[in-house]
Amino acid sequence: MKTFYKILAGCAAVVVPGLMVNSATFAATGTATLTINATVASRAEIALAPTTINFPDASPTTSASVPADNPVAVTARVRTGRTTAATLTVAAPTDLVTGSDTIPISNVSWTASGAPFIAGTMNKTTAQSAATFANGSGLFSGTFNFVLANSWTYNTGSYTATVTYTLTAP
Amino acid sequence: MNLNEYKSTGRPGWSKFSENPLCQSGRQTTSVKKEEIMKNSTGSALKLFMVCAAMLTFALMMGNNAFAATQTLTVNASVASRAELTIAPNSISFADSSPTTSPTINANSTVAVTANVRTASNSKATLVAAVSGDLTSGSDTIPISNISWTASGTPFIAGTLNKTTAQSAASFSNGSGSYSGTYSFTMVNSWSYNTGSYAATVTYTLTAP
Repeated sequence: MKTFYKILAGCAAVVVPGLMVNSATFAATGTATLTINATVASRAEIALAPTTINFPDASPTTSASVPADNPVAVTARVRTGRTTAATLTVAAPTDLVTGSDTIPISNVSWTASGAPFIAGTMNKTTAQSAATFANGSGLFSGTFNFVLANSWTYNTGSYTATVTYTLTAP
Repeated sequence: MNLNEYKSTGRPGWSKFSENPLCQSGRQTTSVKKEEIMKNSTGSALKLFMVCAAMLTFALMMGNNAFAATQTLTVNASVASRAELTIAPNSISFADSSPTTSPTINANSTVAVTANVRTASNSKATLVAAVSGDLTSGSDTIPISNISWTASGTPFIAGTLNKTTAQSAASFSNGSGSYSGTYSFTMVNSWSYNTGSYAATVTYTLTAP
């Protein structure tokens, strides 16, 4: 029996210090979590440059259509849901006017380069689509090139009209 | 006790003393007194000697106790590796903002971080930020790599979240210590983000080897 206790005491003398050493050498860790939230709301921005174009005088015989002096660069920035699509329309509520003379605004049309912009013709009763967006957000750049259908019927004068582009992010 | 009584005891030396002619004269009485005085003096000296010896012995014994005796006390202290990490607040938000005017967005709050570390003098703690995925809102995502942070307070460091590799958020020196600092988070803004309320969870792990 004494021998048993001696063996037990001997084992304890070896094991206990060993456990103490190991507990001191274990790596310790502390953790903390940080939740990051971000809110992204619907948002739309459109930019045109330049914001004025001019159609110079030209002979309807030699120039059935008159190109504008400059193309118009368009940039559309959209934030919307992944299942919804933005829209871009152009409203031209009035014809080109100078005094009491007019040129139908529908004589102004445009072509487009750069997706998702599309060609069209001005309409003073119905806003016309100027782009076909896919669903979701994005930044889009393109160019509109305007032309005016020329005609011998136009009275002389300096005509002006204002059209409004509206980009909508649902 | 007189001389005769001492003589009757038969002690050695006393017979010779009695045979001294001076002791036979009329000065005998005076001699006896001297003898008594001498005897008394001898006894006092003996007593004094004994007292001194006893005091010396006692002093030596006391001296042994005060300066020579030793007793040892073993004091043990166990200091294990330990790591504690706190951050506050534990949630931050990035508000909606136009990417045109705000290419990056600051979080609504800075994050205070405190790291308490116990480790060996020749080893150093580590602090990493792990994130398992991008910011998500349904099936929409914002890359978590679009979130980065700056840091103030040693040993905290700036970085950018990465969903595949945990990023180091501090550069500790060897040994133990208590450290406090601040993280300031920014998110890269983009028109490509679909609308939604996005969330991600970052796990910070402080390890004391």
